[in-house]
Amino acid sequence: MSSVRPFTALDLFRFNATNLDPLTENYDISFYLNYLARWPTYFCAMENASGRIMGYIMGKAEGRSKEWHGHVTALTVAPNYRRLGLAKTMMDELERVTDAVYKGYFVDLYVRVSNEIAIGMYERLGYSVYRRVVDYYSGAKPGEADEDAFDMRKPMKRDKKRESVRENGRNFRVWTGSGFKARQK
Amino acid sequence: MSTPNERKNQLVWEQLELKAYKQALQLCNRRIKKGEKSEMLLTLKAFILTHIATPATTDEAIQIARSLSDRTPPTQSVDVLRLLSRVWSNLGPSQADEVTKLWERAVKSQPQNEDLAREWFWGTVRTLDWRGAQKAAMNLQKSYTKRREYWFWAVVSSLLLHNSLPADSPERKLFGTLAYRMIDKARNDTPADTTVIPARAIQTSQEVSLLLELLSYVSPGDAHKEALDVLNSKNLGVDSTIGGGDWWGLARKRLDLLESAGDWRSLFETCKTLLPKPQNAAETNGNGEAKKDEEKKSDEKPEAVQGRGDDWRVWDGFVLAAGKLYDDGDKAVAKESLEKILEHRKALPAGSSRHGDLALVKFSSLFHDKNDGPEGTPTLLEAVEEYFVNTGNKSCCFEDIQVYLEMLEDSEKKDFLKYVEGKVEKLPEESEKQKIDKVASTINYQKFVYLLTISPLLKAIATTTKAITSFITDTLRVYVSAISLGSSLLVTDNQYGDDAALLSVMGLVRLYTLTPSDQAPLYQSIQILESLLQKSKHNYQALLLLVRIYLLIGAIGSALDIYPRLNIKQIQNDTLSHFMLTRISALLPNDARTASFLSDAGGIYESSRTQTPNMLQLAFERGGYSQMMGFLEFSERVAGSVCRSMYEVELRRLARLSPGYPDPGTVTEVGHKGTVWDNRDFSVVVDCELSSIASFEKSFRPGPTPAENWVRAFVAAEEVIRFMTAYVAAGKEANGTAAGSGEKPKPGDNLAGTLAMALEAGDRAGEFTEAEKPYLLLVGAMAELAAAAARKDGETVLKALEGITSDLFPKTLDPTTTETPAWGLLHKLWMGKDAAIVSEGLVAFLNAVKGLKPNIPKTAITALGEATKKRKIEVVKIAEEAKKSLEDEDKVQALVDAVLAEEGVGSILRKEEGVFGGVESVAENVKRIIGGVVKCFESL
Repeated sequence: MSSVRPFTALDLFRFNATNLDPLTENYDISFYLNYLARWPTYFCAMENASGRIMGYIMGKAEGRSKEWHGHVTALTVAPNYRRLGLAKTMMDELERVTDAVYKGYFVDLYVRVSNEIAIGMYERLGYSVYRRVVDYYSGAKPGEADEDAFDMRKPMKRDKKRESVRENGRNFRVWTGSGFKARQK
Repeated sequence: MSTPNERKNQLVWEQLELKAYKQALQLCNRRIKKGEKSEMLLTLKAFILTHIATPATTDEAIQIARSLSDRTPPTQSVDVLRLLSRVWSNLGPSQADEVTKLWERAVKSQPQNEDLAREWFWGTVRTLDWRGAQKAAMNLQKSYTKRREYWFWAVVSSLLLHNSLPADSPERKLFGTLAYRMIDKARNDTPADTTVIPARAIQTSQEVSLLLELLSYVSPGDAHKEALDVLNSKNLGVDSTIGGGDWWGLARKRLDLLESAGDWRSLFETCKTLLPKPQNAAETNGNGEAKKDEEKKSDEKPEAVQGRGDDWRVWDGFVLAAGKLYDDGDKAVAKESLEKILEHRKALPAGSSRHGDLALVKFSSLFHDKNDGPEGTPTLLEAVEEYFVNTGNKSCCFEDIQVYLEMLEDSEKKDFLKYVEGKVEKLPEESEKQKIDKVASTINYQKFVYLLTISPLLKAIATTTKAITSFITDTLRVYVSAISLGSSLLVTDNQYGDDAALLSVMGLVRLYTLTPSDQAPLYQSIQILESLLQKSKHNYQALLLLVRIYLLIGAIGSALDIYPRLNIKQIQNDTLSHFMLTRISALLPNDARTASFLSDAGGIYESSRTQTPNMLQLAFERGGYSQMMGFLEFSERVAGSVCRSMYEVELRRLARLSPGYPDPGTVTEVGHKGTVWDNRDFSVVVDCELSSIASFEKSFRPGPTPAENWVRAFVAAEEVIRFMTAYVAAGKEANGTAAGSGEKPKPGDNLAGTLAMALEAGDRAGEFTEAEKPYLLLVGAMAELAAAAARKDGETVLKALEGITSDLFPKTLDPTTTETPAWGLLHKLWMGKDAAIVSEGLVAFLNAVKGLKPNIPKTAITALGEATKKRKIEVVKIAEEAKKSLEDEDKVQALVDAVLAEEGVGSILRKEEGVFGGVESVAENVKRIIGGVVKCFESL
């Protein structure tokens, strides 16, 4: 049993089932509160009947003109609640908010190029690789090579011409300032 | 490019940062003497004086601040205003109004300076000064009527001021009413047609949420009704354009309100409209997972997804309301509800409607005791059986139906287990996926077995041990059999059978809690968990259990080895670090990691203190009003956290017990404005216990759980200890003329009383160990002695001293050691040693105190001094005996034999060499673990 609800600051005390997972980053307090203050409807928790947090999604609206879009900053599901379609449900909610509230042209997210499972899941949810961002992620350990990210996008209603979909996006390389690395530091 | 004065000011700030207040003051005074009279320089001087904080410097600071604040025209410099505000704030609550007066005058003198008016507001927000914020916001909304946000800032700050005032304060009601009237005006100004909305009407969903939040604070009687009116309204409600900004958040609120109001008819009807239409549900496989072969374009989304209908909150409300209406005599609604559930499930492929299946379980549970319900209602047993058939291969199956399983009659429970066992046996194992699914189903079955047959076993009798042992071996076999399936898993994944191994550890822990003198189950658990963690390196359940079990057996260093693998960071320091750090200073104080982890954990409190006000400002700027109460409560809960006080106490004890570790200074006040918050997360640990008994995690904590009374008692104790140390140090500074120093510390008010009250309450609540209680009684007597010494009452001091020497101090270490050397003995010995150290402090205090009438005989003081010396020797002696006992070859061999017993768990540890390393490896590991315990006793 699972239910989506708005995430609140007090959930930071209770999201350990997800945040003890090694793939889920623990940010400082202001990172979460910043998202809550600025994009409250983009930050949702998925809870079970007893109120335990099974996963959460946080996102933001950014960009200009036709680049105005919803961005998935974090999406995580606790190990015991995987294979239930929770990620899809939370992504649906973020897409609904992008369409209905922010009127974004598309939703995008970044994923490590090596994370084939996640890439496959996002493809099933209708996302496709728009571009490959070189050296977006830091190496897992000091001395390890940086890793590229796929910027995956899914057009929303407003993108009538589907301009956020690009053929052969995997081969379209870009070099940008590393957002994720900067946050890690 | 900075000016010469700015560079000179920078030099002063550098001294301030170094806390070199006298040097900073000298720098200012020199410049003033040379004729410089800038406002900033004078303000800086006043600021420094508030840090020195003697009566004379405080007076001077007030004088300077007053002259600057009263200047006409008022200062034009925002920097001076900001610093002057800090001066007044530092001067204490009696001067609190001065900050507001200062800014009011400045803003009034520049009525067109909007930036200045905003700066006033931000300053109050950053210092959480809600009275000032309310005034500043009201000024903004009155002066700049075209800016709509100022209206809402005034509403929010009036509400925050209302919330910050005591419940019986007449002002509280006043500001609550003001906030309500203002938001009500905004509500009334919102037209029915929201195409064009006046500036100060409600325009966003956040403002709707603010209105709803406000209602619950200031209009408790009618809040429900009024909130529902809002949520049902066409211009602001759930389905309005404005409310649509947070459609689901508001829709949930409406369901919550209907449920708490007991308006079952409306709840039923509302849920019914939200539930997915069968054809839409079918398009998403019911559980929201899109069919793989039906990729859809974004504009073809089914309604179920748009409406969030397939959400357990909706199903739960729908079934609950139907049951309530049925009880009230409306049988038709129950029939309709059942039909709806069945229709939904029918539209989907079997097993893909988790919520629909569970709704049927919940529905049948409503009629379980009554043996009735609409025609076609399955029995609860049938419903849970079917749920297992459809969802048994998901790890959440157990927790989904746990509550319903507990409702079954005993015979039904047996039938259920038999049914599930049969189903699992028949599951196919041809493909890899089928094999994995079978492991998951088997684990769910074993969780049911634990819940229904192991959890109720609370007596240490042969049949119990046999049943639990059988359970442990069964689950361990499942774990072993599943290992081969995980060869292609990622390093970050857990193995498919891990939960089975955790269940076996739960069984072993139950054996241990039934017979605590037998530690073999704990050593077997360690073996299992360490093996598991070789293959599932990040399984946090295993890591948490391993930390706990290492602590229990007294291998504190081994627990410290494991703990960093949990990678606890940021706010988790407040919620999770207690698993390792509770009582750590009285377990292994002289390991460098202890101090390091405690210091790291303590960092979160400063982070929260500095970051949250900025986030409140951001929420104001961005109109995130509905988040602000949450931000404030969050920050108050962190500030008043029980762990914050716990870790401060631990660090101070550490400084006494670990030579060379610096004194961390005073312990801050317990709680936030008198309230202590417990943010610890215990629930993260796996649990399959009956709801009627304690959680699994609670069943094997190392000692009682420290909470509010514990921190109140120990913080008071630390104040007593610190007072004595400070008194002696002050005496030394005054060249031995102890009685003559004006700076002599005084004992805190009624510390003995605070300590006694907390001890008594905490004892009732089970917060203290047997070693902590006599320790606190000892320090309580020291507090009474100190108070008597302050009164120069030699008679009472002597009486207290004699009581301490003859009775209280000896009781702080029970020399009989019947228990197996483990955490409890380590804790007792460290507490006993600490009692000796604080008693030495008492001896030094008594030697420093002059002028008692009558004087204390030296022999009485010496007697306590001698007792402390003997205590330290005794502690070492007991530790050595424990060490010998632990290293006793026969005992070690007996433990190895028990761990590797031919029957039960031992047989699997022996047999499964590939998993557990074989007999020799297990035996070596047991010896290594014992070696870890020995090291802890050696550290005494």
